[in-house]
Amino acid sequence: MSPHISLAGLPLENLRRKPFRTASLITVVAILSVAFFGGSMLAMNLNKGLTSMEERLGADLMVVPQTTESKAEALLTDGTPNTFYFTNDIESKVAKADGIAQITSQTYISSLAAACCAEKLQIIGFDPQTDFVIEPWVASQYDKTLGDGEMVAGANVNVSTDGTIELYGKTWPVVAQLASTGTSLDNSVFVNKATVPQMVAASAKVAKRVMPQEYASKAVSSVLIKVQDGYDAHTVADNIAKLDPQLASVGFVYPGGVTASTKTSLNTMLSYMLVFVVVLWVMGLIVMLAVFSSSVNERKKEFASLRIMGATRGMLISIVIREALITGLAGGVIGVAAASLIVFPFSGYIGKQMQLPYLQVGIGSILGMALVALVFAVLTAAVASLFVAFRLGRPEAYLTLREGE
Amino acid sequence: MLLEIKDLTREFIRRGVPFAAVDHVNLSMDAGEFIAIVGRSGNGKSTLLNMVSGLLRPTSGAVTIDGQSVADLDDKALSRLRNRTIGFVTQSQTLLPNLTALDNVILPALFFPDDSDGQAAGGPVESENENAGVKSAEPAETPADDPDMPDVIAPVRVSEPTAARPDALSTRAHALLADLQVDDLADSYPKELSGGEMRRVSIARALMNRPKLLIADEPTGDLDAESTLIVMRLLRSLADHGTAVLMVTHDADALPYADRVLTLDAGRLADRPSR
Repeated sequence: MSPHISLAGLPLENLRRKPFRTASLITVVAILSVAFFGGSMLAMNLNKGLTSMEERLGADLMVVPQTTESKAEALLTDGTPNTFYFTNDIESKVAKADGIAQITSQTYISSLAAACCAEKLQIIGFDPQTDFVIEPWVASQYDKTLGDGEMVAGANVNVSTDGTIELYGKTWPVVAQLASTGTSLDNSVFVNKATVPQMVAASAKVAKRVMPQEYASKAVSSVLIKVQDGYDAHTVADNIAKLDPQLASVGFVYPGGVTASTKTSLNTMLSYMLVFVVVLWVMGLIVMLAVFSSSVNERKKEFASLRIMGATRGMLISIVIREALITGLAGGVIGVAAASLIVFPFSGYIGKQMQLPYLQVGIGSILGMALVALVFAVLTAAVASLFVAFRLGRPEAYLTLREGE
Repeated sequence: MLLEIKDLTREFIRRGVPFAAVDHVNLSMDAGEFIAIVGRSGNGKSTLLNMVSGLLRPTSGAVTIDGQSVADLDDKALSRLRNRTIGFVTQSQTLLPNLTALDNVILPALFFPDDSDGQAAGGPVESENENAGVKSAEPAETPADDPDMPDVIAPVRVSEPTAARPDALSTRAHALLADLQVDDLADSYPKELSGGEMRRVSIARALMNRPKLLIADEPTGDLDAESTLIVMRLLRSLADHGTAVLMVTHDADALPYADRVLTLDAGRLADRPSR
């Protein structure tokens, strides 16, 4: 003998026996959940990317060769690797300007499509003695001084199992790999300045030399400056430009401004996303209300029958709410799963397409947001169903029954 | 006194004009009494039955069932009364479309599972029901001697909470369906049943909790002569075993089974000679 119906099983039976209505409701909730969870994950990832970018940009001002400002900005956000450099000793000249608290220089070299990697790498040479941008970050992963010929790799760099990278036909030891930042720094390797000439020499052996050998030991791509308290980065830039006619035509990049403009783009995108989610939610709610209310007449009779048999108003509301909870939960789980299939596997692609710092948030945040999305889905379905519950639970069941005939 | 109706009135408004569908009706019923009410359509019969069961509120007057004033009961108490004391066979088809015939019959037993059902009608004597192979109370008098008479009238005692003895409910529901000769349709859904079959399943559902008062609104409305006979004998037998039966009917063949026949004309109740 098959088990008979139970009061708790009634909502499930009602859903099971109305597959089209149930599937429609679940689909609507699933679409809402995709938008809500997917949108929230994108927003959170972008936000984390931006925060990470802000943390990595310890400099207030970058002095770069004329016309290379955009390349330097791309380095900070999400661009392709580049090689550019001054051909003379600029750091000592710039250091004389008024308002500088800390100064260091970096050298940027773009590798070829390396054997180990699907894309070109950005090689960043920095001076561990004066650096205040990379070193604190490297220090979080590697507490020794970076030796000559050693590398620290960004998060997305493919490091061999033996802890090396092959670049320009030479194997370089990787002493540490950094956490993800969501910026192009993830596709970079960091070396000390003394390693740069070795790189240039190695490049000459396997391909086109990345820069003339005579510049290899002194090439500086960017001078990074932290301004003194009370000084504005633009004022310091003016001071630098006035120092020497040679410096009048250099380019200036203001990482704070890059962050601000990125933040503006991000906020614009988040606003659109919010509007999109809200509009979709309102539409979804309307569709669900329409589906629920279209079933009111059909269900008037069903609920009047239950009242005639002795069901309390609370029982009726409980049945409707439980149907909604099951629908909402099923739709929510499907929606979160569907959004996850898009957001997580294609994280890198999404980040690239957005041209914004994009960094996956931690598993705790993901699970938390999934939970919020599920609660949101369930509540949405419950809100839509309340309308039916209260219309059907009115005291004079006989009149409801007559209306349903 | 199981049922007492005092000065019961229900007014409706039709095209802006109030009219009394039920007009100052008085009626008393004892346990085991079988009353039939006849009258033309629209004369307030269904309205009266629905007020008795608390599904419709009277404009004035009072209904007392088993010592409880229906108007004074809150939703839970009224629902419990409807579930445990009253069995209602509605005029229209009210089986739940999503449940099988068997589950439709069982459903009322699930609403207040912790209630003792010692209130159920039926004699203390129990005998084997040959059809369903279950214990059922044997009618005290002649009906069991009648080969056409279903012998399910006094149902199996289901004194344990539902969760503890789920099979007892199925067994009882099957027995009821068997005695109404629709047990072979137990696993069918209402849309697969004819009007007459649905009516018989509805009657089985109304009897599931062994009501003290069975209210039947046109119980033979969709039935052929043979099914009418089965149903009316069943109702008669229920009354013989202590269940009060209040029936509204247009069916002249059903009237001889009642102890009293009343007429409801323009909302007013009056006696009419019965069998």
